[in-house]
Amino acid sequence: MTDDLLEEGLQVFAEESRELLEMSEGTLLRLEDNPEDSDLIDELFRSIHTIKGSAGIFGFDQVVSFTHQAESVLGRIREGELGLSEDLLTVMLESRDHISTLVEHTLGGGGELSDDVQQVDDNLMQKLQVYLDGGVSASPAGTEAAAETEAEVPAEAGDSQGQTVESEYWHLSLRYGKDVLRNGMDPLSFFRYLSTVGDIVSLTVMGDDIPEFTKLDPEECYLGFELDLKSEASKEEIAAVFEFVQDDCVIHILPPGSLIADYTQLIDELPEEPLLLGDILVRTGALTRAELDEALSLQDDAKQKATEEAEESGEEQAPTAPLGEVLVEQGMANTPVVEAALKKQKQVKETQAIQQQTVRVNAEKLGDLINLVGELVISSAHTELQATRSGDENMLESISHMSRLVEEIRDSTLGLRMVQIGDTFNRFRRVVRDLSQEFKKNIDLKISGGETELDKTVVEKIGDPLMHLVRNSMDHGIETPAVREENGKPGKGTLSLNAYHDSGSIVIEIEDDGAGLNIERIMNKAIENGILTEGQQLSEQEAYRLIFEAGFSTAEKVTSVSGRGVGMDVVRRNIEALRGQIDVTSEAGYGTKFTIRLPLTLAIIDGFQVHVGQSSYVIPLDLVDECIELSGEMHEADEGGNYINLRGEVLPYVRLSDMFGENREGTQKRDNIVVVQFAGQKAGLVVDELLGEHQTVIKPLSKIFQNVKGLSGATILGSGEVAMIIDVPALVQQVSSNNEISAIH
Amino acid sequence: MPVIKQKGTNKGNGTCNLAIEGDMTIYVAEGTYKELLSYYPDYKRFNLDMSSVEEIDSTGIQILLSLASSAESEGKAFHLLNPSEPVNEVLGVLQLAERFGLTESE
Repeated sequence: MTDDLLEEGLQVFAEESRELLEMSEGTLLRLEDNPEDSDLIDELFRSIHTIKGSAGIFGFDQVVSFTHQAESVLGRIREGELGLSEDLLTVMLESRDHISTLVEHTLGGGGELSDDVQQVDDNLMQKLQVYLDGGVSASPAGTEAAAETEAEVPAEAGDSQGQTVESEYWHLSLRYGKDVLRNGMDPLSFFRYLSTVGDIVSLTVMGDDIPEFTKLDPEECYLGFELDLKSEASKEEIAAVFEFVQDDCVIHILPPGSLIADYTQLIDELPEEPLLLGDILVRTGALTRAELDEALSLQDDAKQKATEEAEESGEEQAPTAPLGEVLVEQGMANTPVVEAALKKQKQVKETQAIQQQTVRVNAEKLGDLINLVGELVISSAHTELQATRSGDENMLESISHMSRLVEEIRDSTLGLRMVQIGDTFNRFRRVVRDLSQEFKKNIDLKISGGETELDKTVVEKIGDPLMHLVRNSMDHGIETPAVREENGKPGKGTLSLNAYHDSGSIVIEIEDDGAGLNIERIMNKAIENGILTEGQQLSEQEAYRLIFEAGFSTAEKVTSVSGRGVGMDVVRRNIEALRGQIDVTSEAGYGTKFTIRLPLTLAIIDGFQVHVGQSSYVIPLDLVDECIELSGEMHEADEGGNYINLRGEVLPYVRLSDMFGENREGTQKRDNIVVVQFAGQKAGLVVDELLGEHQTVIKPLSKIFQNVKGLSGATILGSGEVAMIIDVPALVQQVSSNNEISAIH
Repeated sequence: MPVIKQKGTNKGNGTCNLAIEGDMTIYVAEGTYKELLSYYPDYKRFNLDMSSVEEIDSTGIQILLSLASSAESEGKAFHLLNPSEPVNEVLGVLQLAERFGLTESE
């Protein structure tokens, strides 16, 4: 096997295990609410089982031995022998975390576990063992193989459960197809050949399929053989003997020391999860269908027997090993085949298990596509411009049709990168659960709007800031039950996560019903830290915003999660890096609400193109509310305060020409105001000319321009000119704060 | 004809002594089978002399196994006698000597 293949296989393993572990966590948390839900338990069992199986394929023993233990306990829960108590659930959650640690450890190169991890391992193994006790001790599969001779074919050996083939010999089961003889092959010749790779220790002719003499077809082959082989050869070498008949012959080759019952027990799980490794191995030919069928036919007997035994003695069924593990341990499957199977399984799982038809695409490819679509948009704008200049009506018509298509392509391409925020939200269930225990608080997490979609790149970057806000709310926001009850609130606090779309942005709210922010304390702290000077007046809103300043923390005690004075400023910076905004509102005694606004995408937007002086600017269309003419009267009424009366509303405005130092000489006198709205605030931008809608591919500004205020990027127009994209959120903020300050003075 | 009726065959007491000559391979399996089958319903004791068998393959073994087990299930007797070297070798490989009651007699 080449390193590439191995690498790819590992990649699949990594993705799969992470996904499964994430699922398991969600399942465990849901189980907390419905401990009796057998579907959830099954789901959990399968996840853990699959991880074990895949880990087994790669020989990740550390992962296998631990997951085995966890799986055994889950098995008991599944069989109803164990109740899922709160304690057990905690142990299972810890186990899940530990499996995750082990998987990452292994993927990171493996080797000896560090002392800490080893301690956790031992500790959890012991805890799990407690739940297993009372039954047969569950040692890892395969190690308890007793050296009992077993030469019977599984299909006929109802009592082969638990028995093993004689450990030092290979066991071969051969079932020849009917046409073998007619095809000119003689089973006998294979035995002669076989004796070149090893000594046949014992051989049993399975003649049960031979019909009675009067009904015999002498040219048809009815033979089957069970034989034990003493050989130093590898599985491949032994299998090579039967290469010529492999299509016509069902061959099992069990390496020394394997449990026949393993197959049965394994396939025990298959009917519920036909996508398990075993099934795919069958399909790819690594495992024959007959092999599987045989084990399946054994299954009922074995199950019944096991149940009887369990009833009689209260004993646990012998532990099962995942098919993948057994296969590789036994050398039944070679790794490339297993890799292929894993990959296939992955695909099948995505289409069926999650019940969504999905294709996994490399993010890079998607990025390339989006870039290309961006170029297409620019080039179509250019074409449109040329067509307009030429004045050819037919041309214009077909161009307009094309433009519409390009627009659709743009939208659906960007849609490809959209993912639901629900998964990100769900991750917090665990955080809330664990921290509730740590803080000895009783906190309920409410999630809504999980189906809201946003760009994957944004989702990836929003996780950390959200985590910080959630922890912050739990630590500082929500009070202990005692304090809450004293204040006449229910002892159980509520933390809600909500998401929704709002004019080209996604809004994420983190709300708690805790103590709220204490303005006085914030002000004092700010003065203490030199952020404010004594006597400075701030609006309530501005005071709250102080918590996002660097080096600010109002927590009176430092805990493990917050209060170290770093964090909120980092949160703000992270969100601003995504062209987003964070805001906080609070009511003392009733709670705090953080509101994050993020742009839906970072790549292409619908823009509104305007002309100021000699240059073009683009305003994100989603944020444009309306366009009005700035008439002379309005201007006069304004008295230089940069306000106009917009249908009885005060609208602050700013002249882009002043803002960006555009030379307005030679331009027409009439001004236009573009009314933009962001986060509930309106502001007017005064421009010279309105040019209309424009598909805008955002080209980020290079680092040199990072500190330029009011611009969020640039774009290339159809004419090849560069237009700047107005950073409306920043401008709105600036406009309104300018005016607030001027109002105070 | 590879299957030759031997003396002592007697429908009256049900004894059928046969000798097989030449090969018992797939090339002659059909013929061998049909000949054996023609004797099968009429007798109760079959003694097959194998001393002249020059080659035997799986088809031959199948015929013998089928004949033996059918005979047994119908309460008839079936014996292999004097296996030739090639027959012995194959029975040895397949560890079937005992199945045909040859271990002690040889």
